[in-house]
Amino acid sequence: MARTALAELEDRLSNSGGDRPLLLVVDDDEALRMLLVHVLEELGYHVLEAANGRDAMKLIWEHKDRLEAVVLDRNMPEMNGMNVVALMKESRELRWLPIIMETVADRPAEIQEAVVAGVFYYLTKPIDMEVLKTVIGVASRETRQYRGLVNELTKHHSGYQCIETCQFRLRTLVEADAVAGLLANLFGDPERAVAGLAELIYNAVEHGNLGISYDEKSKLIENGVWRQEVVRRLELPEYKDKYVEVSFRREPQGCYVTVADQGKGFRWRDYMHIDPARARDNHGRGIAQANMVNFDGLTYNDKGNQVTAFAANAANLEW
Amino acid sequence: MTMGLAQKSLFGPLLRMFGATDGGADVADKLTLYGNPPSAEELAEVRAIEALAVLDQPALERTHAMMGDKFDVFIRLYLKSSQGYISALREVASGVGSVGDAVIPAHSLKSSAAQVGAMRVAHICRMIEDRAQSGVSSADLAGPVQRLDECCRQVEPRLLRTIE
Repeated sequence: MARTALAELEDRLSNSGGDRPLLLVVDDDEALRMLLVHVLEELGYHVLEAANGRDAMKLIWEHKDRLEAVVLDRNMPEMNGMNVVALMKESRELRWLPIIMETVADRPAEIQEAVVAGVFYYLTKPIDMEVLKTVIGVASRETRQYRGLVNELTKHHSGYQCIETCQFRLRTLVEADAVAGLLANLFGDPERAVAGLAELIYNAVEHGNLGISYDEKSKLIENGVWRQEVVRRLELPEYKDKYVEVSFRREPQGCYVTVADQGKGFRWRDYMHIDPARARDNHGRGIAQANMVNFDGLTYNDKGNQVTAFAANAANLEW
Repeated sequence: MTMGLAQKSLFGPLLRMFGATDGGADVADKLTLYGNPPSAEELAEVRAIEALAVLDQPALERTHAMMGDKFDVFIRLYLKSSQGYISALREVASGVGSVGDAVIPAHSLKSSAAQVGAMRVAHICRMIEDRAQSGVSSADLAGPVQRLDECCRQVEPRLLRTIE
């Protein structure tokens, strides 16, 4: 009897979407909205819907702690998609939430405008099942990663402002998360910096020291074995002594973090901005986000195995 | 106004799209009505539209696979909403409201039409959207809206057959 009651409770939770990742689909076209909702529900998401930007903003505020991504059309009545992007990017609480802009392939100027506004994910129309699955999957995964990092942030910041310089040496992704979480506390806006720090340190570990190429990572993510491969390589003789050095220094104008790996470097210039040609890829946006969102400046050495990020002191610190 | 045979054969499709016929004084009237003779770009646009399938079966089948047993509901919803968009576009073309009011219905119909494989509809919508954004007069939208209506009428029975 108790088992039945438990099963019923589980069913109710499942039916109400309580334990499923939450998405918002915003499109004024009822048929396309229905298609997106149907496919995303089939993929295991719980999906909220809005037909215009105004209703979307209400739902975003209402569910900001659970939403993993917003799928957004560009042209809509009442409040269009770009207005929604602007409002979300203005808000400290919403600016990190991934926006997936519905777009058409033959409008590069529109994509460019959205890139400048801070949109990193694109869903080309007509909607293709595989693209939808990939783009939603990567946005959703990055949201969960971001929330995990934010949870690691220390809530009491008073002593951190006294730290002038510090240095770390690390090898693994677990250590990368820990260092990123700790370092973010030294910044004026920890929640802004944390995802960028994690991205730069992850890159140093996986691409720099472990030599995982862009295409290899695409396949590893597709097969759901990316972390396992990182762990496997860390134990190989050719990689086991490699480390990443992370150093922090505080200056009057802001904070600097330098991340150096022992790899051969890479073509970092290709990744400093979002390339619409990679809009379907399941990764590859992190450096652009670090450059455009998380920090006020990002500088690589020529080879690409050392990067320095800068965040200016905010005039209105809230903590 | 007179017109050479070669010129007529080139203008024919464009004029049909703008709601005109091919021959004689009617052609001349329509050309006068729609301003300067069409540019090479406009003619290329017409050819591009005519080269497209009324209904792209592979595109429709992909959407069918995505929607599964809700495909029929999706198609009926598309047909219903496309009527609403066309009504809105007809109003703009007849001078009600501003030309900018055509942008959203044209954009929305463009996207949903491409999803069901109605490629000509999608292409004409794109053209209307572009024109509306560039600030043409409402009369300049009348021909494309009429052609759009015709294309939608061609698509509708074909879509209904897929769900019957």
